[in-house]
Amino acid sequence: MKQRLPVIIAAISGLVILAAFFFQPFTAPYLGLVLNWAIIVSSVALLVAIAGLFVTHIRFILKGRRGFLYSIILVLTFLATLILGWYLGLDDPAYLIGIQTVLVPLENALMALIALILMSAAVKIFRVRGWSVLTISFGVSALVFLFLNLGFFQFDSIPGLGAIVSALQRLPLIGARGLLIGLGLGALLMGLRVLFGQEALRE
Amino acid sequence: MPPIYLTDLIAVGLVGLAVIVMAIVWIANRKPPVNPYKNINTYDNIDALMHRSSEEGKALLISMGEGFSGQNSSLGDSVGVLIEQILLSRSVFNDQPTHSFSGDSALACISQLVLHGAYENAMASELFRSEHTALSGVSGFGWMAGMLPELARKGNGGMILTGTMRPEHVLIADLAERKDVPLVAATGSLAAQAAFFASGSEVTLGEDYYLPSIGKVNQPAYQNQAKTMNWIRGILVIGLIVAALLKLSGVLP
Repeated sequence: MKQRLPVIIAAISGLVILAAFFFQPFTAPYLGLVLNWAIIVSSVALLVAIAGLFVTHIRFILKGRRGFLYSIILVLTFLATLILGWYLGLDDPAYLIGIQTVLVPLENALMALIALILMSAAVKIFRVRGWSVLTISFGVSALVFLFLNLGFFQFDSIPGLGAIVSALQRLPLIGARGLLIGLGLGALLMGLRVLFGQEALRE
Repeated sequence: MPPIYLTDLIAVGLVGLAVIVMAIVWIANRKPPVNPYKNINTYDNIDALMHRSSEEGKALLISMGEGFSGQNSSLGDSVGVLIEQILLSRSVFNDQPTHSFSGDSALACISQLVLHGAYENAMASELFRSEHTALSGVSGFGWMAGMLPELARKGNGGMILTGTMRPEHVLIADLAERKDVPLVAATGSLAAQAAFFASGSEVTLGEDYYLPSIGKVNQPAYQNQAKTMNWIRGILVIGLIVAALLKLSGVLP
């Protein structure tokens, strides 16, 4: 019973929230209240998780674990961001510019790196996975839709071709929709299993 | 009072249908099936990775994805937590402990609970260390950036990516390839599946992700869920075809 009680409480709350989501015209005020609770709980979780992260890295520094320099950088930047945020306020323009000056170039550099890696992956796919119907259709469709969506070519001027290209451009959407139905079904069943406490491991 | 939309009613109908089919399959499958479904290849590879890392005395890394909260609307991380639970329950006594990294605070807390539960169930609470599961960042990029140095360390037997991912996370696959660390990616995100497929990693395709069964663990649930999905898929296909025919014939507006 000690183990079942949390599952029963979770299942009942989950089912009530699910029902409330479907009938929002009647349940919107209660749903808003419960969602506020969820926001408060997740904020507390953030505090706990950040404290855990901080303590873990302090421990790495004290132990002199290999690569502890990264931990020192993390702790220092964390403290600097926290203290400046407290002192200047989160809406302070100088503080926001400071954060963006670090974050935006870093994210852009990462995106550029990812573009290169995806390009090299596209070239390597046939070496890694071999020549099969799946890899060939994957490669060909990637190339065709990249070419079509680049926007360099306008097909509207040629009668008939515009309609064919437009139909072709809708193909990925149709395929994705089919896959999304499958994923939606999977997510729905997994959610129901969790709600009914059926996700416990058994051999 | 605003009306209840037709889409809401359809969603209620789908949930009701899923519950009914689940109940029928559950009742019909009380005995083990004669021709059980085969395990998903990717999950078999996770099983192989677990055995190999255990034999070689190396550490396994689990990356839990971006998490429940924030802008993610998928249920992917529930599966991630389930996979983590299976892995940890079977690797408690490995020479090197399994480390998990989360990209979301709520997920990090739940992951900590799962880890503690695994050690407690194995009656080895004294082996539990809180640093074996960590929040490695609070965004997709932050999580990846925090995890890459851990992946680059020596002595890693493999990495399992599970949960909500983005195509950008293919950087992890690239580093794993360069460091010769086997990587298995189990994610429900379509774009991430495509990116990991291109990178040559083992990856779940489509709804395979929602059918986790590693070795013999979770087999009954897997068999039931796979059968339920097949039945509902069949019903949906028939419904879509009938709707398309009715639309073409002008019966539906």
